[in-house]
Amino acid sequence: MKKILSVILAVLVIFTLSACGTSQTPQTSVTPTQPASEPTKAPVNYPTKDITYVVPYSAGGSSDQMARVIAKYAPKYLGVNMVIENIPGGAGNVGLVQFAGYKKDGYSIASANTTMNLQPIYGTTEYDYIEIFEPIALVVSIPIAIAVPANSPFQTIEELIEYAKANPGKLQYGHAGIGSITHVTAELFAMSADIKMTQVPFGSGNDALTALLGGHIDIDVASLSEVLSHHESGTVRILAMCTDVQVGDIPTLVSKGYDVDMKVTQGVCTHKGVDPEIIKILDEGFRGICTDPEFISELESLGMDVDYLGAAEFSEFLQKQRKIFEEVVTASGILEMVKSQQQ
Amino acid sequence: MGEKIANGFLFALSTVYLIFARQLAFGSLSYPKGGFIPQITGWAAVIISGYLFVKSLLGKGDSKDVKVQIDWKRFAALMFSIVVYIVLLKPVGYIVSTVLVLFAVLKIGGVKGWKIPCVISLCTSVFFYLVFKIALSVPLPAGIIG
Amino acid sequence: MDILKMLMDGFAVCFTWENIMACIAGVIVGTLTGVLPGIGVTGAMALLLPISFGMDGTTALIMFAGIYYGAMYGGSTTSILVNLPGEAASVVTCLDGNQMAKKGRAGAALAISAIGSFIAGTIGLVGLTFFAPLLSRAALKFGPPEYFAIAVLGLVLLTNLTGKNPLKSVLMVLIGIMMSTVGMNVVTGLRRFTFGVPELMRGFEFGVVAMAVFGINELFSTLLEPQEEIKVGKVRFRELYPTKEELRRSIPPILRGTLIGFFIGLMPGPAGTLSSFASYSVEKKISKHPEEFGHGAVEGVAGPEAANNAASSATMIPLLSLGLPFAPPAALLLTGFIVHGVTPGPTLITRHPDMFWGLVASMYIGNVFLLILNLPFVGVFASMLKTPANILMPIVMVITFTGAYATNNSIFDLVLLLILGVFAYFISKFGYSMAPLAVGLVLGSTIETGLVQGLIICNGNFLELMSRPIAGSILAFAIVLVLITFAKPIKRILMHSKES
Repeated sequence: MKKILSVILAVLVIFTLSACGTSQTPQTSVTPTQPASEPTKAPVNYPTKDITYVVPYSAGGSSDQMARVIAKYAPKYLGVNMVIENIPGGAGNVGLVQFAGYKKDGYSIASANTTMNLQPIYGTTEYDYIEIFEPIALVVSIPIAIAVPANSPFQTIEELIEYAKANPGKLQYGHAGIGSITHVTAELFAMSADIKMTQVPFGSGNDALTALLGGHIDIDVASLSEVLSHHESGTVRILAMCTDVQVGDIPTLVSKGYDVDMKVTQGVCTHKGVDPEIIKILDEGFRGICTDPEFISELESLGMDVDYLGAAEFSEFLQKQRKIFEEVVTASGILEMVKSQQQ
Repeated sequence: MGEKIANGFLFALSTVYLIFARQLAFGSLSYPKGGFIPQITGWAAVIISGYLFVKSLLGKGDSKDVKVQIDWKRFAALMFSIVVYIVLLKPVGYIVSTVLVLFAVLKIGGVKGWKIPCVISLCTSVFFYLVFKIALSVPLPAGIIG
Repeated sequence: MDILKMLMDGFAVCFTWENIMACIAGVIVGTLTGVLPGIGVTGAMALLLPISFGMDGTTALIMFAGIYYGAMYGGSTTSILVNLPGEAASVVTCLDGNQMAKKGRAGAALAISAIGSFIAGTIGLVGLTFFAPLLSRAALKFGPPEYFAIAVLGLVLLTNLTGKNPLKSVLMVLIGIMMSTVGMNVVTGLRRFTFGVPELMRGFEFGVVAMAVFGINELFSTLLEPQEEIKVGKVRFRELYPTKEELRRSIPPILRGTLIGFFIGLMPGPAGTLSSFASYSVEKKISKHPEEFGHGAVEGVAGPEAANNAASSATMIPLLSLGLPFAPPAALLLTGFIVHGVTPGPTLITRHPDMFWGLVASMYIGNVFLLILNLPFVGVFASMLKTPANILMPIVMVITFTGAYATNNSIFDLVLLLILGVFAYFISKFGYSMAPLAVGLVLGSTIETGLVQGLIICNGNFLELMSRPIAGSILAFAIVLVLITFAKPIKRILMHSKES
């Protein structure tokens, strides 16, 4: 009995002592290497310690991979190491919400993807991310494609549209989840081609691709990195690009007269309210990283094209993207669909 | 007695779940919506747990006097230590909190003396800090140290 | 035999210093990852990805593959020794493995688990070597309706895994399913049961839940209840290893487990976990001594361990022949391929035979390494149990908490660990066992997703779903099983009413 009391007492004492102690920045890490000399002599002394890079997805996904390559080049352009912190869950929401609670001192950054701009529109998120985060750089953009299985009767996108017009709702397309960028893109395509297709939701682009290969769905609207290799090996046929970029001899929807130009974008952001001098340093640092030829080729080998936009341009881009998203999501009925799942 | 509480708890849990599940749209067999599986599961759970609960209330429960010999004092101390650990982990850091809690739990477990628990706590905490942080690059809160 | 010649060439590719070192390194990292709870295979691979950029493609892949199946060997170590699953797929090994350890047969359990893993891994590789294209084409025929059917069948088969009261098992399965509905469902775009707690959007992750309901549960038992002395005594060398009897009893389950794991591994989803559950269930049902299960039946260790290794070999098949990763580690392997300019798919074998066969050959070698690595250490690990429980358990507790925190960098997971652990501890005193809950948790989302997607594909018509040959026959089988289970009680009720 006495022993237990003394233990409890000891714990209490230490608890009180630490509560009176100085508060620490969360996630400050101790790394064995010393930061290299600071590249910019700015009036504010930044960065002097490692930067935490929050990736709101699990290790191995495209955001995570991009983050790790960035972290590889960080010491060269920012002078400090980056520590990756994976906080997966809730389609990116869990990590972003946790990140929002970190100190706004510029020593933590997070992935800024299409999801970040799209999710708040459905009203299912804690915050509206573009209000509370400060964009730093757009790093990568991945085009979106419309694919059919190799044995599909459709050889061109026109044939598909013709069939769809004659048989509304009969064609089934897969995407990476309700409200996801591929879902939104597919509906945008349907709207501009004036056709009706039935959507089959999947948990990830990979699952949709599997179903496509098995012939369980007719079409897959997917990010290019998922389907390009299959297109090249012939197991899948990409009929058109939903992004205004030329890939091989695949026609773009834009060239066919349909106003569809969507892509998956992955970038980086920090908190709003961080010292503008620090933002400038980060902006410069990322400019260096994203224009480094080795960096570009490493990302390319992962299937991601570097499409760099600096802080100011990225900010504009996000605002424009948000407006387009809002329009499509309402007009296509996706917003309604998400809300109708809850009474 | 214990079984009644356990069954009752499960019954309450299922009922609460069902109440929230009913707020979701059910859809239909040809177009199930967000509430479809939850409501079906909820109803089944409520019925089964209700049946078990009533059965145990009527004395026809399963437990042939399960010898539940829990040392409640130890339990309270253990719970307290773990809660403190959770609270302290981020602000105080991994090594310090782990040392403290490991020491506490070792004592709760009846380890005699002060030297052995101290040594074990220190060595274990530092060891795992090194393994997870350095060898596996998993960020652990550093807190007070560094 | 063209294939054999190519395999031999593959071995030739393998036997360079770099490749052998990569294999060993991968296998060791994998084992470590498997032993430590919370550190996932995928995490370890992701970490090494940037480092692998500089390596030769084949070398990098050999290393990654080593990590993958290495983890399957390591995961059972802590399951057996301290009832703490190191990997989600090792949960089932806790059930009888730990019981064997308590009876002083820890060494035997560890050894049989290693042997079973080796046999299954190797047989699985043979399947991969000779039947890859055929099998993957067959695997593609399974779409969402079929996944739904299989999940339902799984539910029916696995519900009465442990415990005496079937009704209580069913309730635990239901609770598991209820837990699986919590969170943000990407498929329906819906947040359910999150009550404004952002971390709940992630839902209940199997890894953390398993650590709580098995590991923490065990912890509390040890620390809070008077313990009988485990008569470990002087463990002689011979006692560390399985007896002839144990080995004899293990071989059939290992073979069966291999078959089960192999086929389940061909499909998307948590193949390792599901196949180990399935194997356990099968072994229990066909055993002549079912009452031994849950108390140290060696079949309950041999079968599941074989199953999860066979599953990881099988997961390679859709990856290599179709470029389709059905599990997160496979997705990382895919990235590994792409980074080095190679895309797996039907053309992989023809365009890059050296890479393909080199990789396959390395997997055979890796399995041998793992056997060599694990068997001698059996003694070392088993003797760890000589540590007094009240010192060992707190250390295990630290591992558990660290691992749980490390999974998602989230304090919330620790809170979850505590709450679920306490819940499991109390409930299991009254006849409720945790294995069915785990089954419900794993299968719940597959059932729901499969149902929703399946119905859309079948135009909202459930009958159309049942008329698909594969899905329909599986569902019919499940219905038959349910009827059989209920036939006896119904007969009894009918007979009673006749008498009265």
